[in-house]
Amino acid sequence: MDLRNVIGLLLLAIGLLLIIAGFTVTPRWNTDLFGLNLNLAWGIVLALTGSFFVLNSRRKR
Amino acid sequence: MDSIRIELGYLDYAILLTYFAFVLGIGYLLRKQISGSEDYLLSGRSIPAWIAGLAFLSANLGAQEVMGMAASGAKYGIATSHFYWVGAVPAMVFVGVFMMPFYYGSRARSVPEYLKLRFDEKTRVFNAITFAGMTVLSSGISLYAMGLLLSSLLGWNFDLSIALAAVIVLAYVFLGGLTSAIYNEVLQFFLIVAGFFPLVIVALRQVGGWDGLVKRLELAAVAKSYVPGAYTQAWAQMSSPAANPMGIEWFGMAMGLGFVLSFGYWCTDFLVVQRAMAADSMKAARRTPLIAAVPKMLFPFLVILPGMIALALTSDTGSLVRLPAKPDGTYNYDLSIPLLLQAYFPSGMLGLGLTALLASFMSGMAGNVTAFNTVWTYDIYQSYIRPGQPDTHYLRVGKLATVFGILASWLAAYAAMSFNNIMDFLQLIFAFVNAPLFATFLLGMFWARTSAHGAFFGLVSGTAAAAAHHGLSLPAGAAVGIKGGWLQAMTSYPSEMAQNFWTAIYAWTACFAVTIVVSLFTKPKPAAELRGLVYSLTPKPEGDAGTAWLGAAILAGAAVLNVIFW
Repeated sequence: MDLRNVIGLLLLAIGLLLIIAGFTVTPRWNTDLFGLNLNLAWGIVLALTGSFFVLNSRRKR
Repeated sequence: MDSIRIELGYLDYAILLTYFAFVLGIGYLLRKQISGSEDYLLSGRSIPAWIAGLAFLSANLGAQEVMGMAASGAKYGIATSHFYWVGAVPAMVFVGVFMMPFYYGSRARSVPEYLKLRFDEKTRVFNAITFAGMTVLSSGISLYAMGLLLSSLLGWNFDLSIALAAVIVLAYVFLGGLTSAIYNEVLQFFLIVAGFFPLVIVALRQVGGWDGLVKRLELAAVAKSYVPGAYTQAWAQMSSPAANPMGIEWFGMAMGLGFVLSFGYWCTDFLVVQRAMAADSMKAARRTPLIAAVPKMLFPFLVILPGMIALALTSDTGSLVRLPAKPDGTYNYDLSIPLLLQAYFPSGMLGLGLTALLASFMSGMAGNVTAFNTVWTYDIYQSYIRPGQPDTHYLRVGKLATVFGILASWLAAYAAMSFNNIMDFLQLIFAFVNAPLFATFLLGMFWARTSAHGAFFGLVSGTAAAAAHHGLSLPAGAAVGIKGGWLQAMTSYPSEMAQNFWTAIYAWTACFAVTIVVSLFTKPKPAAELRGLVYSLTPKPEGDAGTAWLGAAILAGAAVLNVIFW
């Protein structure tokens, strides 16, 4: 089992859930991150990080 | 723990369930790799350095670390970072560069087994029994904290909360053994960073950035009759115990926490050392603590800063975000992170933040259980109860020990309910057990003359000195009893932390002195039996100069952080 793949898939799954939350949850005034929707912004960061791990594990295999 | 209530949405539950599915999936997929007790209890010594390194760090990320450090950040301010920049990081460099060649090179399967090889059976059994008790208690406290958090924050049933957590940890450790625990610890590390990093950024922004935080904490310090920098300067207010909220001066800090307690924990506690011993080579084993030390240096920004922000917000009379008070009127510092989660995270991020908290509790618990099952199986059962059995027998015993460890933790969690100061109690036990043990290791590894009798009587004397100091001292405002003074309260300390540091100093010094004296009057082991176990009699690792340089770079990084936050 390649752990990078597992880490990547988990971060990707959580990132996607946060992106969905970014479109469905109404942001409160104090939950913006430098003017961004926190769920959406952090969801994209996690999804990209997860994708990097998954791709990296596939490439090295 | 009340007055903070979090409402989770369906996406929060989805994140939580996704995490549980991955955790259990890892255990399920790894079960086929287990063919013997060494695979189950030692990972077959097959773990790459980066995985062992992150697991080395995460095994320590239990309830005490995450919620406890945030609570200390709120109570004592930036001085809490000494646990990292003076304590953990130098100790991790020391164990990686100097001690790991003996642990790994001796082929010992556990820390108590190293003690048997270096000294004798009585020293091993003393350490095995005290360590097994400590792991169960520590694991039970993680479980208790998790149940308390889930029941008070989410309104879940306490019994059901701890049962659910215990069953999940049991499932993945039972199925995949140490490898499963290590893989999950790495996963938990990424979740903790992913959950807490945005929390710190958002909360820090709300208090006006670092400068805004400093200004607010200066006002809080003045309001408590300290100088303005008492919460934001790590060293500048260490000239006397009365000048800082921790109630300790620089010597007690550097010697008690920096040298004795931290080196005692990171260099001798099998819970963390086991991760490095599972590495796939000597080089990987030496680099494991060094790899862990890099993120460890930065962890104060993830776990201490939230506590400082919570204190800054609570001290502002106009703030709506405030720590709840306990029945005795003091603030409930333990709720620092939940307070910020509730205040600044929307649904979605809230699920991630809560998952990060649960991940930290579960990694702390699994770390203790895997250390317990190894010490029980190899150092107690195989050595004293049923020696000479086939390996499949010890594999079964290892699995049963996992079940027993979880059940004992479960009971310990309920026992913890009857103590309102169990965290302080646990820290005290570390001072009793780990502080003298570090003196034993220091002498055992670096002085060939140290004898088996010297080590044993040194350990016993160190533990007795810790007990005597505890019985003769009392933190300010505490009642005689579990917090000390049960012999006679002759000395008073400004805080429990200061008392713990000095208990550790007395325990270490007594063990060090008695071990030397007894060793000089008793016969040491022949040099031929000490090869690979003692520094002067062991060939130095060749072709790995990079490890020492990496260690030096990490120490320089920690020094820079000390200067920046002086």
